[in-house]
Amino acid sequence: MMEAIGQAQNHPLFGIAVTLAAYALASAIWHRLDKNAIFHPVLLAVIFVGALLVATDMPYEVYLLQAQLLNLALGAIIVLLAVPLYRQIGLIRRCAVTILCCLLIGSFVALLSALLYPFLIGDGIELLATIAPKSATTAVAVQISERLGGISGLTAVVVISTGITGAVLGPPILEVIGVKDARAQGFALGLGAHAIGTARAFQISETAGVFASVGMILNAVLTIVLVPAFLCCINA
Amino acid sequence: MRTQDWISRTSYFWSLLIQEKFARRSTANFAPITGFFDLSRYGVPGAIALLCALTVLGDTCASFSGLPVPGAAIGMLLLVGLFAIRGEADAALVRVFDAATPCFPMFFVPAAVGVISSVEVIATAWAQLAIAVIFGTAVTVAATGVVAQALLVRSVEELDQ
Repeated sequence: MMEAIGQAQNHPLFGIAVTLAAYALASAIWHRLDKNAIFHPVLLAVIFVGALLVATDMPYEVYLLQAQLLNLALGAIIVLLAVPLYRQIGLIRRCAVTILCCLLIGSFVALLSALLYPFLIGDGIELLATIAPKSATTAVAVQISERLGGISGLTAVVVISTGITGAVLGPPILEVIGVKDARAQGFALGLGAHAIGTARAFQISETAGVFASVGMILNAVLTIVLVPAFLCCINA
Repeated sequence: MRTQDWISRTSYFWSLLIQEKFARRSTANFAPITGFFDLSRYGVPGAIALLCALTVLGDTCASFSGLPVPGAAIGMLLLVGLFAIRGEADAALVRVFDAATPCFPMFFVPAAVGVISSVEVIATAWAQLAIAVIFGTAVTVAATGVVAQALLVRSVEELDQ
């Protein structure tokens, strides 16, 4: 019996099958729970797959090799982000200067608020590179972290947790500090909490969603430039 | 005075002529390139092929130049450039994007499962991670919201009037 399981685990399609099945189950549960951000399908799917790997004593490296196709598709997804960027280009052009100001301030705050504490207590570049891209969309953040010597698996979880936190805490915080305008709310959610925040913004209103997409996509582009530059400065 | 009058009266005609000439020239200049890249001709497989090719091209550029940016980001900028030259986003790529968007989170699962091999890092650096995620996100959303309400909203309203 154990031998049969071992055989199945070594099949090159095993990793993809497990990932797809776990994600399908997770997203079915998420739909049942009214798309509550806390039960985001990625989080549940990671728990399912992780539990399976630990239970069957399967090394993560073997699983990653089998699921490599999905992991490699992250690159193509980043290229595909050209579509939403081009869709919003009219809006971005119309108020380019102000959007740029909001974007620069937001990105800097995101970077500083994440790195200040680890930097002060003297953590190494590995942890800084893992945390730094946390407000960018997951595909971009994972690739940045990988290139700068961070732990990409941890980055993925940090980024998704950031999205969930932003989607859950963001709207009440914005309400309390008096940001009532849907466009400002959307932009803040998209910039701070990427795709999960954008999905939350679309629940507020269509306008909030569009501004969230702009915030998310531009922050992803800026993070690609800002994080490597910032970490180089720290290193030097 | 007379000449200016004449120009202003016929300005509509001139603007049409200039527009027409510009439009014809700009499409004529790019026709061989954009015609080849008209992916709606090749459908969804063509669109996916272009995505992969741009990723490979970007990664090659990134590793040759030694820049620490992900290669796919270079591919994305090239694709935006291509859209800008053609004046519209490619229909096949838009179709791929709209079909794939709900599944995007699925592609993060293999990378995120890697967290099981960084249990030790989490055990030692849980405070940094928790502060970055909870405090960092709250501050970012709040600060961006305040700035956006102050700047962005006003500029959009000025333009709308």
